[in-house]
Amino acid sequence: MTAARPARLRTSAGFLARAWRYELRQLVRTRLYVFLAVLLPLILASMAFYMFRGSGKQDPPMAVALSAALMGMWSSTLLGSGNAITRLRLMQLLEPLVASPRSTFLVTLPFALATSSLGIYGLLITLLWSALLFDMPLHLEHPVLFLTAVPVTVVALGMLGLLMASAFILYPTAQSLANFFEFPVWMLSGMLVPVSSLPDPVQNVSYLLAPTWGVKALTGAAVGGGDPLTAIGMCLLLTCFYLAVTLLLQRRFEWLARSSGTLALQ
Amino acid sequence: MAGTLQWDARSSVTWRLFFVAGWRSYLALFRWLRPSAFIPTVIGVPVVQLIWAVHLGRYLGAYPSDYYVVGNALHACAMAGLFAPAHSIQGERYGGTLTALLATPANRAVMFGGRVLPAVLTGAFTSAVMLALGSALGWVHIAPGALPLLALTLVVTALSCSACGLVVGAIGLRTREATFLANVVLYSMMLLCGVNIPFSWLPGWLAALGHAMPMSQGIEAARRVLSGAEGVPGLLGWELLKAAVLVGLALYLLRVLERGSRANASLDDV
Repeated sequence: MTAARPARLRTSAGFLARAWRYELRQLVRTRLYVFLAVLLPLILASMAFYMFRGSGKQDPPMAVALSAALMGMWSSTLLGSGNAITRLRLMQLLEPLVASPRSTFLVTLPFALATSSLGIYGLLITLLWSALLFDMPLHLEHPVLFLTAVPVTVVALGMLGLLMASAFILYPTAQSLANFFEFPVWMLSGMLVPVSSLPDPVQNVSYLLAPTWGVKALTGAAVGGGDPLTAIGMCLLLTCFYLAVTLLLQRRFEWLARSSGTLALQ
Repeated sequence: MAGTLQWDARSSVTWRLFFVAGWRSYLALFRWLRPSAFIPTVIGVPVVQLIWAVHLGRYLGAYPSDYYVVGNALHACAMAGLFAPAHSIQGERYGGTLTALLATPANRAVMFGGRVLPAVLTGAFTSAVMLALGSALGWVHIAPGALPLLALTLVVTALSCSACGLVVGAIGLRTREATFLANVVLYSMMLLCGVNIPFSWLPGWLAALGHAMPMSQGIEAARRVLSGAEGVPGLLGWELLKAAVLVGLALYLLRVLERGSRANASLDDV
């Protein structure tokens, strides 16, 4: 019994690594996803810089660039996680995968991890684009904190995407809802516009979103101000919370999808 | 007599091909128009985009809210306009029916033109809903007298976007990347067509590119209609001209790329 557990953990870790690599390869061969991961952050960064410069708003350029990068990262994560389940459904693989003895969570987790990993590339390319085209100084106030905040934020976005994508297991048409959550999360997380400019009740919702803390952590670490360490901690805490909720939801959705027979529906 | 009957039958088939087949193709896009798929896509996303843009615009403080409401309301028609014609061709490919469709002797201009009409109507309807929402929230004032010209502006802009969608769909005959292209165009419009950024804030070459893209004159026309400024017919004329050029280009591409797809046996590529 005790010997079986490490073996199972090893198998699961191996499965995760292989599935992540496989999904990553699939994603980089999908032009739509490459657009979302690479081109979209550049379009958003350009839009943000032209809007802020034209209006004369004096926000730090690094904060604008980071917000634009996170906007692109969220769009690609949301679509990537959801698309993966829709793709399995279209290829008629969702049903056998859910029927397999491995947990559905383990099957879907690599999708979120792979989309998030490409998000790091999107972040780097956005910073480079902003430095080259918009003369943004590439200076980080707290480089170590920044390098810690990046993976924490990326995983947080991935987990939030996976949490939302869980519904796609149950509802074949839920993919159309994915795009709906793009702009609200941009707005609620304080990307480009600070959370403090939102009405008070809405701000409470913002603080339940891990990306809000991700924005605070990255901006604080890059341009100074705020408390990036607390923000990183909050981001981690909320990511763990999303993980637990996703596990519960997926179990429930899987049961409902099996009993209503919607897994094979397209 | 027989000739007349034959002519009547051909004419009836043409009308059916344009209206009925076009509409059914559009229904199929939304899995036969399930509200759970249609409403979030066509109404939900533009609503949240509009709210986001007004929120951002107020923070920047450079223009009043109505600037962002008009820009984003008209940008809303691009989603239906670009994706519906593009997906209606891509959807045939994924459904395995593209080969059968292109094996028919049906007139291509009528067949694919029919797929644009529902997109134009839906696009104009979405923009109208967004403007009504902006008006209900007090972000934009629409004088009753401006409604007919505003409605015409919405239809012309939606037509221009749908014509661009047909070009994207035509390219989808040869490649599998119609969705990719439609996304590139959609987000580029947000940057270049005066949706949220005035042309004077863009570098000259980007502004010129924006002026040449569909929708830019339509947005400017809508802003002028609401402010009572002159020059609307000229702007709508330009937008219509762009739509006509795009339709011509789409029909040419459909013919050339259909031939190429047959020659390369790439119609069934998924």
